[in-house]
Parts: sequence; structure tokens; C-alpha cells
Amino acid sequence: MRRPWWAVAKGVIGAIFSLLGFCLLNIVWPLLLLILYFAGEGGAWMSVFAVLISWMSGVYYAKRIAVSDDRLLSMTTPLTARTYHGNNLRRVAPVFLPGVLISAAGCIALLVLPPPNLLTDGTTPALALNLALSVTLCLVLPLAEALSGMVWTRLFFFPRFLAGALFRRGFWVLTAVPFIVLLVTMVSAPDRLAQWEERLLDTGLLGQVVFTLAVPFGGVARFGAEGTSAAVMLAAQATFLAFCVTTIVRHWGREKPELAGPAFEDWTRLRDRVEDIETEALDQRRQRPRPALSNAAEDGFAEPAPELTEEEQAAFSAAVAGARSAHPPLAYEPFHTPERQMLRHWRYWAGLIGTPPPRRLWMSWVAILWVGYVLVRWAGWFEPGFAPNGPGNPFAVLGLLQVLTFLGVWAGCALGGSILLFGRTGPARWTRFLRRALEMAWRRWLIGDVLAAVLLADAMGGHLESTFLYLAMFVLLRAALLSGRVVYSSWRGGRRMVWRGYVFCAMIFLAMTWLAAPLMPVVGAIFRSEPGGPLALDPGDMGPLVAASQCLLMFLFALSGLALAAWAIRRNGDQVIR
Amino acid sequence: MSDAAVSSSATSPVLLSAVGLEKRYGRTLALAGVSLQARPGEVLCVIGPNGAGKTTLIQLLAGIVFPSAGHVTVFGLHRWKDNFAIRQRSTVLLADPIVGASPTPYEFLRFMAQIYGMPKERFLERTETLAREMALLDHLHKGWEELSLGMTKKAGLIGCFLPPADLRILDEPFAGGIDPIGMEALYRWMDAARGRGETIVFSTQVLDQADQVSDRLLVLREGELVANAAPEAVIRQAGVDPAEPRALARAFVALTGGGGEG
Repeated sequence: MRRPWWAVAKGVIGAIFSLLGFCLLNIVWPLLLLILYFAGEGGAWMSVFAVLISWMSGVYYAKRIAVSDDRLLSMTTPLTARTYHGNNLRRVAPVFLPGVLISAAGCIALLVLPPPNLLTDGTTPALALNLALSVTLCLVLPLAEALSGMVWTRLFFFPRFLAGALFRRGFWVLTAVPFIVLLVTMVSAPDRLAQWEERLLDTGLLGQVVFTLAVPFGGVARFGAEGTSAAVMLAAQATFLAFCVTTIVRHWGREKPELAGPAFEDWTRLRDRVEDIETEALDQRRQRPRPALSNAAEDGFAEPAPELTEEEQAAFSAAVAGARSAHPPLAYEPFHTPERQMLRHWRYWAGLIGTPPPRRLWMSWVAILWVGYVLVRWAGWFEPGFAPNGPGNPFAVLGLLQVLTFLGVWAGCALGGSILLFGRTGPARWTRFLRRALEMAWRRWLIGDVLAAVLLADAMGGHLESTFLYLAMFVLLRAALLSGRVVYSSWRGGRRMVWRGYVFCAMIFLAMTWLAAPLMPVVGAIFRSEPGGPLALDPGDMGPLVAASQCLLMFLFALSGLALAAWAIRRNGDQVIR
Repeated sequence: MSDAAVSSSATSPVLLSAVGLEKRYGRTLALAGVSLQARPGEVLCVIGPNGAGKTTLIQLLAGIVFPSAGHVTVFGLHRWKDNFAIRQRSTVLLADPIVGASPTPYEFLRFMAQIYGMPKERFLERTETLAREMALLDHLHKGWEELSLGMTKKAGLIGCFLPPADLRILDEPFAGGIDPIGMEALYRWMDAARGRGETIVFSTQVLDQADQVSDRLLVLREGELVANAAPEAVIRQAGVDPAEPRALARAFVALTGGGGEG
């Protein structure tokens, strides 16, 4: 019996929807970005990045489908889309809903309430809406993905030659080359950067405060306002590029770093204890009455070690087991010297900092930042003399359009994926192929960090110095997120819970940002309480203050994440990291 | 199974029917015209050498793959046309248990209960019973990577026997490292399911299990069904005396054309 017509029809419908989602995600959306961008200011590399980012996002979702076994679950059980999505919602709601509600409340507050004193000049509800929506989307996007489970786009029709050509070998080259072009462009066009800076400064500081409040670590851009010489910039960029390349090479084809956990002292203590037991046992054996000395001993050779009796062997094993039981999570490896253990220890922390960030969150984040950037530019917010409160301000409409487009894309993908998932079976060889190809592709993507830093810095004013600040902060945040992953998976267990750990930590960070932001005016008021004093600041200087506070928060968060990770590792040993 | 039970099941309606099942993977003929029937309360065991087509047959009966020729009806319904209705009354265990995106066995079992619409109280009661019998009760809330291969298989087995069903299809349920405790529990579950009138189709490579729990053996050789009868009848069909030691193994070798056993 051939596959019946209705199964083929369902497959075709599913493929159409999936193709629709794929096109929206990878063609229409980048084209829209492109049009928007050229409606503002030119720059081919930006469009390249937009296409690249969007395309990578789509491919990533395809990978999620390819590696999931929900497909088989839907084939063997009466699993319905409603149960499937409902179950996912129930699982993720406690993690997501607080952040979504906070962001939604922030949006409503910015629109409805009168602006706070700090945000009087030049701050518009429309601008705040746009930025707040961007933050909200950071939360809504993963939520939408979680709601749909892993059923986005099953691109069985994805051209094999394309995947093979791009993903297997040259993918990182394709991403690195535009990056290098970008660096050269930015370094060789300082006048353009100066122009951007001028326009940014013309907009006033309070707008940046809005950025600071709405976009985490946004205010740090102010730190780079003084500028640096081109030579320093070139050297720093070269260093940075070298870092990228070495990181990529380090991850090329290698497994995750050998993770041991920072239990070095405990390990050493345990090892000493075991050695004591061994020495004690050996001494006891040596004190045993022995037969006459052998010829070997008289000949100057080493005395053969006396054999252990069964009782001695049992006592020795019990003593070692007793010593180990004091450190249950500790993996005692007698073949590892302390130095070797220390090396593992160091590799763990190096891996903690250097491991690529959570991809979905980061790529969504980067894409949204870029969209916001394009929209801001297209709306002319950087143009001198732009009146945010003037008539015809398109921000509100564009913000809404932004939300609707995103949701439309994800809904289309989810619908198409759902039909495919619940509607027909799929050729396993394609999934295997996609899985291999895409996993190889996505291992080489530290470039996402770079893109995020560059785009964010550009959106915040085009300061190259800011790029490094952002990058450093991204790395820190990544460390915090990874730590959160460790902690969260130690709480709940399970590799599949890892991504929730990411979101969990991102939520903590965002919540801290949102909670800390209203305190900034209070801090500023304290500083302003002594006019003319050494700590006196003008209201216009609040941007750096807020930025500094946020930096501090971020560092504290990263440190707390690392501390939590250390605690989790000590508690659960190596098992928490897979 | 007693003769009376056999005769009563022979008169009961056919629950699962496959006619002329054929499956090709490219030029490879994995299954060649297999026909079989199963009635309520019957336990069918599929045995055969590696590559004989056992998993393919199980996947076809489970509706996971389409046949190249032939058709399957379950509960009188078309296997693929009325797939959802069939899935509501049947459970499937693949060789690698499908646990979906659930982080722990408990979450997986709860998800299974939700899928099959089980009430929460019933789910809790039955999960506790099954997990205790499988010696998995203390591991239900651990992450999958904390569990051994056998424990994962046990969780899959519990998920397969958790919801009420009229048909249970299991691919290599005794493989995958489950311990004797789990095997004994599985024997009991199969017996209990048979007593409830459920039909079980499973594949295995261990002939002792096939002999103990099955009412009928389906012996596959290179995609062809060479025997379809009760264990004793299969032994006789192969020309082996049932009183001989390891009679079923000798019959298996004789029927499947293996060497070394004469």
C-alpha cells in the first residue's frame, strides 16, 4: 500500500505552511529589514548581517525539530497539538510569566502613567513603547517557542547541497568574513562614527536613560564617549579578532571541555586520606612476621610487596570507602595527580567563561536589537532636530508592527510545524543529515557574540569602545547564564531542562534591572543633595550613573551566578554538568 | 495459556489484522507479504534473526511507517486512515523509549497520562504501583542522565503499561538492560493484561521469554513469516521434540536456517 492521498495532502499542506514560515523568517523578514534600513541610511554589511542573523535563527529552529523525538511521540500516542502545547505552557509558565508580566506592566506604565521626573525632556511614550516592546519580545519569543514546543520548521526540503556546502565547512568563514569587513569599515570610517556620535548626543541624555531602563546594559555606551586613538582601536580589534579565531578553533570538532568541578581542596584532602590509609596498611603488612629473606632481597633488588590477606583487603577497601563517603559527590580518580586535577579545575572555569552563549536567547536578542536599531534610524531619531513628540511619529505603529510580524512569523512556523508533526511521518535520513549538518554549523558561532556587541554598540551610538564593553559584558552574562544552567539543572536535573536555566537566569537579570532602575533617581537625588559639592551631578549626568549602577548589578549577578555554580558543583559533583 | 482460553480467543473477533504486509527500503526488501491476526487477550511474540524484519513489522503494526504493499486494520479501523482513533486505544514501546522533552521519568509519565486522558488520581495510583513493581519508585524524579540504561527502559515500559489500552505493541521490551526485577514485573503485567483481554504484540531475541509469556510465536526469516503458531506447535513444525532441552532454540535455528544446531 502506497501512502494514501490524504496523508500526502496533509504533508503538502504542512510543507506549505512550513515553507511559509521559512520564507517569512528567512526571506520576507530580512527583506523587510533591508528595505527599512535603506529607507534610513545605507550600508550593505548591515543587510548582510540582518539576513545572516535571521537565516541562522531559522536554521536553528529547524535543527530543534530535527533532533527532537516528539515526532515519534506524536506517532505512537494520541498526542494532540492542544495537549502538546498545553503541557509545554504548564512547564514554562512559572519561569516566563513573571518576566512577561513585568515587561507588560512596564509597557503599560510607560504609556499610561505620566513620565517620571527623570524622563521629562525628550522622552516620548512612543519611544519608550518601542524599546519596552523590544525587551518584552526578548521574553515573548522564547515563550512563543516554548509554547510551540519543538515544532517550528521541519525543513525536509532543505536543499542538501546548500546545507552541505554552507554548514559543513565554510559556515564560520561566511560569518567571519563579513565581520572582518565590518571591522575594517568601522575603523576606516571614523568620520561616520563621529557623525553618529554627534547625532546621538543631539538627542539628549534622557533618551539614553530610557535606553538604559528599557534595554539592559544600554547605558554603558556612555562610557565610550571620549573616544580612543585609531592605533589603540586597531590593536584592540586585532586582539579581539584573534580571540574570536582562537575560540572558534578551540571549539572546532572538540567535545566540551573536561569538567571537573572546583573541588580541588576536597579532592586533595581525600587523596591524602587515602594515601594515609594505604601507608598504614603497608606498615601493618611490613610488621607482619615474614619468612626468611629471599635471595632477591639479598641481591639488592627491592623486596617484593607482601600479599594482602582477604581480611586486610576487605579492611582496606572499607577504609577507602569510608573516606570516600565523606565526599560523596567527589569523583576520586587515583590516576589523576593533584596537578592534573588542578588542570581540570582550571579548564572548567575557562570553559565556563569561554563556552558559547545560549544560542536561542542570544540570536533572538541580537535580531531584536537590530530591528530596534533599524526602526530607530528609519524613524529618524538620530537625525538632528527630530522631534519625538511631533506629528507623524511612527514609533507606536512600528512597535506594534514589530510585535505582530514576529508573532506572525512564529505562529506560521508553529502552525506549519504542528501540521507536520501531527500530520505525517518524516524521512529519517533527512533528520539525521540535518542534525549532523546543523550541529556542526552551530558549534562555530561565537560570532554571535561579536555581532551582538557590534550591533548594540552601533545602535547605541556607534562607539567602537562600546563594542568591547558590550562584549565583555556579554561574556560575563554568558558566564552567569551558564552558571545558572548548572544551578538550575542541579535543582531539577535533566539536560533538557538546561534551556530553562538560561531563561531562569535571564529573568533574574532582567528582573534585577527592572527593579533597580527606579532606584536610580533616588541615588541621583542623594548625589544632588549637596549642590556644588564634590559629588554633585547635573541631572544630565544621570546616564553614566545609571550605567555604572547597571554594570555593578551585572557584575554582582555574574559573581552570584558563579558562586551558585560552585555551590551546585560541590553539592552534586560532576553530574550537574554534561 | 489453557486450551479453553485458546479456543475462546479463537472465536473472539479479530482485533489486529495484517494482510500481505510488504516493506521495501530502497532495493532492500525488509518484509515480504506478512499476514497475521491477533484476537483480544492474545500475546503474540515476534522472533527472528537479526535483520529478519521484526522491528519493521512492529513499526508497521504501530503505524509508524507506511507499508509498500498490504494493509493493517486495528479494531476494525484502517491503521493509517483512522490512526488517531487507534492510537487512543493502543500504546507503543519502541526499542529506544521515547521520552519526549520531559526532564524526568515522572514528568514523562504524567505527560503520557495527560495524552491518554487519565484522571490524576488514577495516574498517581497506577504510577506508584507500576514504579514500585519495577523498583523505579525512588528514581522517578531524577534526570534522565542520572538513570541507567535499564532504568530508562523501565520508565518506557511503565509509560507503555500506564494508560488503559486494548492493544500494546512493544519492540524488544526485555532488551535494554532491565534487571530480573523488571523482567518479572513485565511478565506479571503481560499476564494481567492478557487477563483483561488486552492484546500484546512484542518482539524479542530471548526465546525463554518468548516461550513463557506468549500464546503465539511469529517466526520471521529474511522478511518472511515462516511460522505462526503456539510455541509447542512451532517446535513441532520444526521437527523438534518438545521434550528435548532447549527445544525452542533448536526449532528457531531449524526454522530460520541458522547453522550449528543441525
